Amino acid sequence: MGCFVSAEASGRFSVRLIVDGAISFAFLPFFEIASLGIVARGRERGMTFVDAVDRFFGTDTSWLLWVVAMIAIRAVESPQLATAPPQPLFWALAGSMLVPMALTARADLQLFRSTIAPSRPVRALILQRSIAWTGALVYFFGTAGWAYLVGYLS
Amino acid sequence: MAGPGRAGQALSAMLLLSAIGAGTYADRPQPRSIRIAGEFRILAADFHLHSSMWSNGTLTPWGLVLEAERHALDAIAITGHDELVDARIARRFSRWIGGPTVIVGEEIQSQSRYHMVALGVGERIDFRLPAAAAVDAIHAQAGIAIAAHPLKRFDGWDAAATKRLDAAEICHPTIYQRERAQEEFEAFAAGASAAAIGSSDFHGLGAMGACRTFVFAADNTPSAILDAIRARRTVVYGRDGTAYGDPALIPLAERARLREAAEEWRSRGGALDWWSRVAGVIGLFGLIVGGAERPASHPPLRRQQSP
Repeated sequence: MGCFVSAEASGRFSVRLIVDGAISFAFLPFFEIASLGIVARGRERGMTFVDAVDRFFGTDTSWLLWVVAMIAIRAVESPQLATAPPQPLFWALAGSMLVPMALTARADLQLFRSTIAPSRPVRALILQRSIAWTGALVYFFGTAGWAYLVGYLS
Repeated sequence: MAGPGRAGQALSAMLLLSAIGAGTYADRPQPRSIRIAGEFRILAADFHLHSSMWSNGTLTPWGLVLEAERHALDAIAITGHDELVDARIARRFSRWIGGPTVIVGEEIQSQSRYHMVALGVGERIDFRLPAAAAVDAIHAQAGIAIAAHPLKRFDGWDAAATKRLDAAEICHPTIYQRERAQEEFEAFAAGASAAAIGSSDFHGLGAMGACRTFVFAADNTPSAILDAIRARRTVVYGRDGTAYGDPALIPLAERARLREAAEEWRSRGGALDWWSRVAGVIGLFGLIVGGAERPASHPPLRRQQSP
């Protein structure tokens, strides 16, 4: 994420922005690990939580490749295009997130079924995603999300 | 899956390290030149930035300060969504390092009916207030009210609110997305008699300062900057280089070559930047693909446990 932030903000990889981005997005692994801690209580005997975390993050390859693809696009586009992408391009890139989302869910389901939550893998996957993503979205959108929610409800 | 192997991994790591080295070397702050026009100092400012602390930005408050130095900005306002905490942190950090002037601000998001930037306030403004009441609440704190990206679709602006405004964004990155956005900002400004503001609404994608305001202030203190906005002493360059703001100041801005300064963000950098981009992408890709093959070296747990 640090590399992604650095490339998106400046079009280059610099230590300053990589570290800053890593700090900014430290909430992502935090929520992922916290949610895994909840659903991995029924994991296989003999599997430590550290093992579970290691294997869980090992299924994120498709997300990492997606991030590299975004960085590659940023590497060739102009600063103007990066700052204000046309709406169709923006939504196409945002929509492309569905691919790693689906691939990671599939890989995680296999992992949960085999070791982390063998008794109820689908339930564990849904629970883990709900906790991690809700927490991350609430943190990331913060008070803006609250204003939108109030507006929507009223 | 056949992969690059250990040598490939080492090469990828070296490429990534060289990319970071080149990028870090190229990542130096730009010198901030002091521009004087008559009795005023001309300050380049971006009054609409979001940090990663609850305001869906990607840089920390102190990261925004450092990034502002890279874009030769003399003043910034960090405008969290309905909160002020990150702006206060950035202000303290910038004072500590002798960075750009940081004005504490907030972006009020009124249930999607209007967005307003409040500068120089000490307490949060309730986002449930109608626009005119929000302007009054900002003024009660001796702050400045700026209409943020006042596109047509924001229908919360009535005549009472626009009349009370101190300033309105006339340059915002949406003008580069759709031509009509510039027309909509111009139409809004025509009915507001407010100071012209250019703001990048920076969330971390693209360039900070892509739209910027040149403020003609007595000095670079927050109070002098706010006074200058109240007195409408600003110049902004919009799409295709059109100048907006105080007609008496536009010739001074031209003489001070502010048009060129406003284009600073369009630079794609030099050879080091290109190397950083290309080698970084290849290095990261190689490391990820190489790393993805490693599960073979981590046998399933069941097999580890079997005698």
